[in-house]
Amino acid sequence: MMYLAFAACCLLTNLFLGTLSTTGSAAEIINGILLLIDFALFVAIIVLTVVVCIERFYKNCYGPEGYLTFTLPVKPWQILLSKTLSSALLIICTLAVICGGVLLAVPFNTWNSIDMSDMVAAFEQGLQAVGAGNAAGLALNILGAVARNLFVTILAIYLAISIGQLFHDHKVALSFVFFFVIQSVIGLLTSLLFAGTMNMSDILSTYQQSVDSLDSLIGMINTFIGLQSLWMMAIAAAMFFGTDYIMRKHLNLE
Amino acid sequence: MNSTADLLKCEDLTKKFGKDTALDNISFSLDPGHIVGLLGPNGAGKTTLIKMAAGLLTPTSGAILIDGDAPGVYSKGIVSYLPERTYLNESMTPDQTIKFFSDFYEDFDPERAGEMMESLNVNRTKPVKNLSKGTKEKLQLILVMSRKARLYLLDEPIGGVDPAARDYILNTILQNYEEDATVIISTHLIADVEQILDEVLFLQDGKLILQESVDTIREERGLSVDETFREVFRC
Amino acid sequence: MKWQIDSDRPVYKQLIEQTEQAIVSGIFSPGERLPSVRDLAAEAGVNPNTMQRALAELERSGILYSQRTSGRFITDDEEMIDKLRYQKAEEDARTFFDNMKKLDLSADEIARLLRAIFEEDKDEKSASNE
Repeated sequence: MMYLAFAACCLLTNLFLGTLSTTGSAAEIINGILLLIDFALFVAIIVLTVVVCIERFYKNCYGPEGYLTFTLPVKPWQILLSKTLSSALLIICTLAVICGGVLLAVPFNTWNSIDMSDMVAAFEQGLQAVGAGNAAGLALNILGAVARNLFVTILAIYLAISIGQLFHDHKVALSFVFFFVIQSVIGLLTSLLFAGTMNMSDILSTYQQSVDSLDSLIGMINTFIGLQSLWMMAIAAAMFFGTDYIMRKHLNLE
Repeated sequence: MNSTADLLKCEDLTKKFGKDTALDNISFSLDPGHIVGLLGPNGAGKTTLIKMAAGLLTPTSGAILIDGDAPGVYSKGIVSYLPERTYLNESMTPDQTIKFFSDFYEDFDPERAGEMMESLNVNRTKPVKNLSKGTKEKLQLILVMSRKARLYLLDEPIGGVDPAARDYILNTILQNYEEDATVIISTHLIADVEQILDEVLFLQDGKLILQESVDTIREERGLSVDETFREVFRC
Repeated sequence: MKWQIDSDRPVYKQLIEQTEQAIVSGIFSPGERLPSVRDLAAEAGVNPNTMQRALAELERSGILYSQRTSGRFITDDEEMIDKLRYQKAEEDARTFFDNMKKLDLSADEIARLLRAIFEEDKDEKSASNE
């Protein structure tokens, strides 16, 4: 499918970037062009992924195939879960392709002069400088944040599409509208909830003030990310159940 | 299985789409062991009623019960629905659809499906999107009839097929007959199916205007159901 | 056997008639076991319940009898079958007679007509024997 073709193109282009020599004006021009192509491909593959996720959900649930999907002896939340997971998987693959592309783009001669363990050590040192604890913990936290934002976005899309389906006309247009509404509501609620408690500037100023108390800083960052995660998970759950409710009680396939 | 419940029961079932009333206070019940014709002019509400039994539409008011339960996982497991349009994933091949149905439906018989595909000349390895319209319809019918369901909902099953295939389909429906199952055939080609029916439901403007056995209609009116229909619905 | 179902009369009545016809004309032999209701219905292209109704009627009149485990059978009461045969013949004859009356033929003309047809048939039979 197109997706694989794009992924392949991405990786190939980045490979070229990596293997070409970096000297000489001709090389620079080629490099520049390749970078442009590269960037375009990254954008394209992201767009393609999002489009595929939306289209698959819409076609499978609310298009003609919906007649098959919703007459299977399966609970709606199971359908929703499987779609959410497959979309998440696709997005993760895309992110992997992009990361892989970026890694490949680093010129190979540079690779040879870098020792991986040195890099990790340097990375960890940097982290300790900002008092963020070991690399693994932070990596997990970041992964968790990425994952929950992923699910929140996917579920927001699905919920928006499902709400759009409740209406008789202009279902697609309304779906877009509702998507922005949902995102706005989430943003508003999030900032309202976290405005009073803490935000990034608080963390930074605390860092400035208490470089010695690394523990409290780590604690603060972890709590911040943790609370946000809980909040996001709650939102994800709410949207999941909302979509399930619509599928169970207000399904109207025409 | 609820042995005391009717197989299909509608209680004051109403369905509105905005201002449009598709079904208006429909009440009736069906026992197992019948082949029922759901007849009526276009827009009478036949497809709406069938989709509600299949669980694709939710009532505006009133209830629809399959074997005593509202449409849900249990009813979908015992209902085999054939829509008028194609609803398969177009990138699958017929063999893949057999596997798909086997995975989801306990009562699906893959061998039976395979045999029917041979008899009806359905190419099993071409993706659905490359099949002709008639073949797609045959495929869907095969999948639906290869289940041992308790309620079959067939929406215009013989609409687009040639006479030979039509006879095969009607014969298949008869061969499939079980005393604990009921088949509902919604069609406007009454003359072709009349002979295999034993009961008919006439719908008009969302209302049920007649529920009667075929023999009673013929005896009381001296007309076939087809002719009765034309009379009742004369423009 | 060939079933011919018309559309404006109750199906079960037609099934009864045609089953009786099949019995008296020897398509079904006395004592023969009938196929299952479902097979008969599929053969005739009719609803199994309707076929069942017809067969039940025939059981009531004694032309058929059923044994719970072995199925349905034609009666081997040859006398009953003969009676049925004459009954059908009489029905046909009356219909014929009514039609002739409509055509305004007298009893003599009818008799002559029948005899002529009879002779014709005899001649054809002996011709095919040579």
